[in-house]
Amino acid sequence: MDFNVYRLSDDRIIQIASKEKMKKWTGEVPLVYINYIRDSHLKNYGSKKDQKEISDYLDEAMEEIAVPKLIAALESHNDDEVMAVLTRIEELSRKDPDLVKITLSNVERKQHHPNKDISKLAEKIQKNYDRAMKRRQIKKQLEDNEKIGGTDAELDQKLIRGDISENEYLRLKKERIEAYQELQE
Amino acid sequence: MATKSNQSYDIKKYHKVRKLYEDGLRRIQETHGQALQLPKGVAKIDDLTTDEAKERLHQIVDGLITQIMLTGRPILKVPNRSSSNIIWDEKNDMLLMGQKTTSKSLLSLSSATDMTRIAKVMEIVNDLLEQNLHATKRDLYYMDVKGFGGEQKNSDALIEDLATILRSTRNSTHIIASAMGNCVGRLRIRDGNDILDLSRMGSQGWQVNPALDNVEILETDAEFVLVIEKNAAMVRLAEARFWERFPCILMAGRGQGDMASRMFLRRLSKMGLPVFLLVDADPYGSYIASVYMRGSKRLSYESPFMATPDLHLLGVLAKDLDEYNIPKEARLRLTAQDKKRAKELLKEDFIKANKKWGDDLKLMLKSEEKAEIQAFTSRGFKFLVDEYIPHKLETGDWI
Amino acid sequence: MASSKKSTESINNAKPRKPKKISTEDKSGDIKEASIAKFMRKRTQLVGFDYGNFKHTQYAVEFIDNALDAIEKFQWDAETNLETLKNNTASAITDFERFDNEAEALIAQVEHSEDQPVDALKTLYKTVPKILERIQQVNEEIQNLIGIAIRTVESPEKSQLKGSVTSTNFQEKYKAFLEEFGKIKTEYTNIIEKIDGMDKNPQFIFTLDKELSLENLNYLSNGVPKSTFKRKISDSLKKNLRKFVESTHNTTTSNESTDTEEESKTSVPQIDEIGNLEQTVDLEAIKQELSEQEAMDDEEVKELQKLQKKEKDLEVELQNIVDNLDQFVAPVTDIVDNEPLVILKLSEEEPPDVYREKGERSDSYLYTIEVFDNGTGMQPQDLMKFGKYLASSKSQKLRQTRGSQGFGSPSAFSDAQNTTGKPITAISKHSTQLYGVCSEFFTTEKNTKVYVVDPIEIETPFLHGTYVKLHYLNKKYNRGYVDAYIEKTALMNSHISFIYIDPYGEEHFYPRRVIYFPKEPKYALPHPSSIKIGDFQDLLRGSDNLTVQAFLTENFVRISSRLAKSILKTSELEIECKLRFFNLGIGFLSVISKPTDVMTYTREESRIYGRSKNPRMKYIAYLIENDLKEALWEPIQDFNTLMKNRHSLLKNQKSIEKSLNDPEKKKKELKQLEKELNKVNKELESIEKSIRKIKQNLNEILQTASLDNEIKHPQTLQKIEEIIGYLLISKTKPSELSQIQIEHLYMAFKNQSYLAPPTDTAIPVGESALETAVIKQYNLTVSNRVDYFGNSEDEIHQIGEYERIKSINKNLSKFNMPNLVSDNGIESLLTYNPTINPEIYADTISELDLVHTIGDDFIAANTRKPTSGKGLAFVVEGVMAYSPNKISLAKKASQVITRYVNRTPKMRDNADCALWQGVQSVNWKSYKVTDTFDNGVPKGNYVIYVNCSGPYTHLMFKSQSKNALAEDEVLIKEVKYCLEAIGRKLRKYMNKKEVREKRSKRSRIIEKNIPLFVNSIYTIAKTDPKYRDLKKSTLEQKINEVLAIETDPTATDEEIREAKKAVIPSPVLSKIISHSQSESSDQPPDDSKIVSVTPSPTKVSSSSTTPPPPVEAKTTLGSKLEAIPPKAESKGEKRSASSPEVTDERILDALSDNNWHPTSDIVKELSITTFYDARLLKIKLKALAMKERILFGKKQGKDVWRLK
Repeated sequence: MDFNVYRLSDDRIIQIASKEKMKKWTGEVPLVYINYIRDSHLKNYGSKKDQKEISDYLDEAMEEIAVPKLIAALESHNDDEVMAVLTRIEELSRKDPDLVKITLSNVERKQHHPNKDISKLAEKIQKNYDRAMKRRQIKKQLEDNEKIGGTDAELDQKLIRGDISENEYLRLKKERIEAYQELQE
Repeated sequence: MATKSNQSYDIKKYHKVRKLYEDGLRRIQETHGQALQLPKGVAKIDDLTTDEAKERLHQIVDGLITQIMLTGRPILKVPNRSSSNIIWDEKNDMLLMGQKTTSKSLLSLSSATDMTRIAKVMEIVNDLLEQNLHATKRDLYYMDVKGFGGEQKNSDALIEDLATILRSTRNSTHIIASAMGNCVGRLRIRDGNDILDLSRMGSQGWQVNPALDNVEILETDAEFVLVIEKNAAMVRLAEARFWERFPCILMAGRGQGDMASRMFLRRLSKMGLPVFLLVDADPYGSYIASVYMRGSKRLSYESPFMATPDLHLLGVLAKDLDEYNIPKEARLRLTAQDKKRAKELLKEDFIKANKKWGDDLKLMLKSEEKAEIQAFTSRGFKFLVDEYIPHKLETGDWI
Repeated sequence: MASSKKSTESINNAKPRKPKKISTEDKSGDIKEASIAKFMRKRTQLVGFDYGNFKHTQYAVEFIDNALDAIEKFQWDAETNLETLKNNTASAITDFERFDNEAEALIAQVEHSEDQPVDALKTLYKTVPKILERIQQVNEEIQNLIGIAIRTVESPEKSQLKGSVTSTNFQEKYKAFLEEFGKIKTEYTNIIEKIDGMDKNPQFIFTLDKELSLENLNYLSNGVPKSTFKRKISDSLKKNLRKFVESTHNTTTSNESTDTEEESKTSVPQIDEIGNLEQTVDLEAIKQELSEQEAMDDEEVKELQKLQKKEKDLEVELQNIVDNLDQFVAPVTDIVDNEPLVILKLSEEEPPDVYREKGERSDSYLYTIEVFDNGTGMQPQDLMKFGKYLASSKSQKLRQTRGSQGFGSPSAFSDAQNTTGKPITAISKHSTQLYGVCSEFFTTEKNTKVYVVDPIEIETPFLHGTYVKLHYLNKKYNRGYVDAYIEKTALMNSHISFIYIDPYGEEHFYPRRVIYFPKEPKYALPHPSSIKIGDFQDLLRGSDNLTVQAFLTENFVRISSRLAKSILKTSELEIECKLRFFNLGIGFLSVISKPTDVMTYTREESRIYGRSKNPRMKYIAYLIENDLKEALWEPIQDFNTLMKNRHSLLKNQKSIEKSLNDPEKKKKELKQLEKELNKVNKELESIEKSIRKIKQNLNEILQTASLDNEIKHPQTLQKIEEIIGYLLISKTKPSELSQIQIEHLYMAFKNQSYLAPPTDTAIPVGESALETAVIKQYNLTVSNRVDYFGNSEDEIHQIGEYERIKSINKNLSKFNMPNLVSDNGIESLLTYNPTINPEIYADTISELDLVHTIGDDFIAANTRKPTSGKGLAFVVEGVMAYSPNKISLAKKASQVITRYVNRTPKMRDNADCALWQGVQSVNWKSYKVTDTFDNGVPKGNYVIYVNCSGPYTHLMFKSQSKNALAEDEVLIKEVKYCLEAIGRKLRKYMNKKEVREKRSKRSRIIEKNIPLFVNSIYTIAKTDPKYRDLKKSTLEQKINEVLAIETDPTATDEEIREAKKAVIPSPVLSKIISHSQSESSDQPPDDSKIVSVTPSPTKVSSSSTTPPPPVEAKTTLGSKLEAIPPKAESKGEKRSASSPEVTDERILDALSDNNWHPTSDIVKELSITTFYDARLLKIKLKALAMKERILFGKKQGKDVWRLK
């Protein structure tokens, strides 16, 4: 069957692409699809029980199909296939870095692949991922910073009201500027 | 952002719709795995992948070259697409193409130019398949305007000839129809490398991509599919964000609907979803329904890939005009052409097999009245969306 | 003499005045009896000489008609005379030969064996005088044939051989004989030569052997300036300038008149001076008649005499005329006697003002027309009559001639004199005369001639012929009239050459095109059904027959003496019934209508009366009364009743006949009427029989009756005799028949049904002459299918021995000569040359016929069997030609159709002529004539010539102007059938053309598509490594080869069908279907099966480096190749030594410049003429192409070849 049919507790019927269908897809598509459903639709599927049932299926699909396909694609000795998958992963690495995490180990191996394009691409993916992680880290820092200092305007008020010391203000401000600069690249 | 849960749609209220859905799902369960059983004498048409299409094309070229080397007389057998070679598959209720062929020889006066043009189309298709590109019929024509005698109708006819020679759908040759229909509602698909959620793409939704081999259906929580003939009516439903209140998928067919839309609709119906059609209340509406259901004569060879036999004609039926007391002035008189078409339809065997449909047509002939979908706006803007369609669905009043 | 008459009248006026007989000679009285000439002088336009373009043509028509008749008469007379000469001298010639053999035998014997055959010499001695006499006789025959022209040869009178031969004086006698024999032998050998050479002797007959000089003759270019001619007129000629004149008419009067006029002449200026003095000369009143006596004192003659030349002027004028003649004939001197020739020269000058200011003809020009023909020429006495009205050489008896009855040239002369006042020059030399006669004259109103230059004998540069020169005034000459007329006349009279020099100085030359003269038409007696009462009466009055029966048989055709007798019987019976007076043989009985009428009976008895003493037969009449009358009355009563119902029957007969030829009547009605008519005729016959019975009955009664009551009353006797006179038609002389007798004779004459008239009097031009003329006129390209005798063969016969003999026999029969080999002898030859396979030969013929005739134009003629309509015999014939490039597109119908009557073109009143309507009546659409004018005449590159000839054509004309034939049912149908026969040939020609065009069109369209198709297939295939070595050209070559066979114009349909058979089912689709479950109608052939179709499997594998070996396409052409023996020599004797050797080397070097050559170029290069070599060439070309040494290609459906 192409679709799995789930009857939710609130009597609704949901159809989700079945594993068979996913098998026919190439390379990274199953991976992308599974994450998409998990992120944007799982929560609408009525009761917690229903959601759990579906998310278990998704995990299954991830292990059985998505990851092996990805790996297979990467490991194939047909350079064209590898190139195709890497380009798709590179795209994902810019849009949704987390999805790429699983493939990092394989991608890393590709970095010194005889085919120059492949190796260049692999490095690029790694770079994107690292940058994305770094940015996430900076963002998190920024959040902590804002948790302490509030928004820029509030920070200035705190400085005037003397809630925070000048060194503290300078440190926070510097931290924010560095973060913004880094996020611009 | 996921759509808000829709408690407002009472499944029990529309249990008849849900029943259809259950039947659909069961049917899929039963017929899963069995290839479509075609009657004897029907030409086997495959939907080929690019490589398969290329391989078949080369086989034909091999044959031609052998003929030339041995007899100096290249002849091609082109399947005959006239009505004499059309077979009605009663079981699956589809119009299919038989196996009659006409042979065209390069050395006969009548078919010399045709053969040269078919060869040219083969050359172009071979090019497309090699580079895995798609082209529309217009592009094909412009590739060799002089060769096609300065008229696109020549090249259009030839592409269908080539598809039948290859015993394949036309899409297999990468010559695609220009897209016309669009789709919106509770559906998630992949189009090429993008994942689209048709419920959050504005009122026009997704323009059906004719290169259907790059399109995959991912997920749906719709209860039924509603195909609407007129674009104007579609706008009504889109503005009312109908699909939020009713978990469904809306499609605009614009007349008989182009090949791509009908193929996409077939995929949806293959998921068991109940499919309803909303057309004007006139004989042409019924004809459109028949085309959606059984395929058209001209493209009979593609029927297995385009027909949705389980489609139901929701409306507007002739009896609805009085039931929902559409004012007299909003109704139109039947023209002579309408009457002729109605009489012809009544003669068709699939209408004879469907009493309700026949009665409705007879009523229409008797009352000599017809009306458009928009006639409902005479009962207020919201009447169609709030009253007519919900009530029809609830009462299961369809053919 | 007149005065004595008056006195007697006054003396005895008491006696009743005797009716005075008015002498027909008396000229007084108001009504003047003008001569035809006076009348016609002023009304020449009646005969077509009205001012305008057609006047030029009218002049040409008059003189050319007479010229052609003269030429044909010359040749026909020569041919008949030659025949009679040969017959008359045949026995003489055999005598000469026998005598010659005997003499030679004797001489031989004497020389060899020394013995002395005395009696042989004796017989020879006896025969010598006979031989001399024979020589004399033959010379006379030749003499009266050639006439005085040939100087007689003195032949030995008597033989000197005397005494009898004995063994002793043998030697001496023998020597004398030898001497005499030598002289005699030379004598009769040259006679035989002369007779044999007669048909090559231009003096006597046209030799028709100067084609070469005809071909490159150009009249103008080899013209000679007049100054070179200074022919010295011999003194003797000058001396007797006038002498000749005396001999022909009463010398005293002419001399006397000329002398007395001598002085007055001086006052009149010379002719030449008049020309340039521009003085007005009033010619109205000039007259002189050479042979008419009583015209002496007429005003006109006196005036004309003033113009007579003085001695000196006469010489100048004569010199001028003779030099002019020499210059005129100079360019054609070498053919003027051998080739039938007509020269017409028209020159134009500005007229002296004296003519111009005459009334409205201000735009007129002075024209000089000179006509020369080398026909029979005119005897001197004929020349006298030349130019007079109604004087025509056309004998009264009717013959198929052109000329009119002596009205044409006289009118021309009158018009010439009316408009220019210049005299007419005429020079003619009859073939039997030694000298020609030259004269310059005026014609007078009295239909007499006045000579400016009296007829004088001169030497002419031609042996026989006539030259006429005159001047006339007319509108400006322009093209399209005279030149068109001559062109058309030349075409229909292709046995005569025509030269026409038009006023623009352009020469139109039409050489003779056929090698024989048409047959001579026989004299035609009129057919009864064509005679009207008027002509019948004239014939009777003019006839000198003694009896009516002789008159009927001699003057009409189809009347045997038996038929003449029955006509006379019925006419006499008719008249008896009409006058109610029976001729009972022994006597004549009056038939009374009432018993009370007076009945008389008259019979001849011998009586003595009048002055003579002895008894003479006299008519005695008796009165019949009482019982004899009663006895006679009864049968007469029967007669009266018979007459009554006979009268009603006749009325009934007339009404049936009238409704019979009512056109609207339907077939059924007509048949019914005919039945009725027969019934009536039978009844009439029975009545006639019963009348004859009644007469017999009366006869019997009167024989026994006694007659006493004789009638004395003179008037009644005279009346009775008169009636009896009427009754005896058969006894009276035809010229003395009374009116009533003529009417009755005519009625009986008309009521007979006669056989159709004999048709040998209507001589057609003949199909082959027509075709040859038109072919050469438009130099149409017609493949050479004309056999030696100028007849076109329908197809080329297979030249096997059998056919050769057959065709020769056929041709010989045309000249009624015995067959070369008797018919049964031919059968034994009926074997084919073993090496030639008939099928191939047919193929060769059809191929060459097709290839040969691709560019052919269409020509077809058809001569109908001569037939007759309304008693007039005529023959209809037509020729039609079609040539897209040689014949220009006709703008109007008259450019397509030319009508001829007796070979003379008729250019006016087209639409109402029967010939024109005949052409219109044909449904041309069904003969592939795509476009017609709205009047139904074919429109396009066509020409149609229709000719109707016959002895009575002048009776068949519609109007006096003789330009259109009357619409006659039979004539129109004849034209229709004639053209339909031609139409059928046209359809066949057009169909053949269409097939060829269709095939070449087909090959052109397909040819265009082949490279495109192959290119597309090739680009796809190239992506597949399997086809790395495949070359695009090999694919194209393969397809072209099959196309060549299929669209080869020479290929027969069956050949193409076979070529198509070698098709194998398109393998592709079935292969695909074989994988799918549903079985399909095509059986799934696997790879091996496809390839195994041809005997030698050639696996199309990419690995093979060389292109796949040539596959011999098993077409019929292929199978034929083996049948022809490779070496050409085997044909042996058929190939004449000169024909070229068709070898590969010669073909290759013909293609040495390696660009594309069509087959026809190579044929020319190798100068191939015979069928075999052409066929051999084609085979060798195909073989070379197969061995890939030369390339084969197709251009517009034509085979083209090129060195590889």
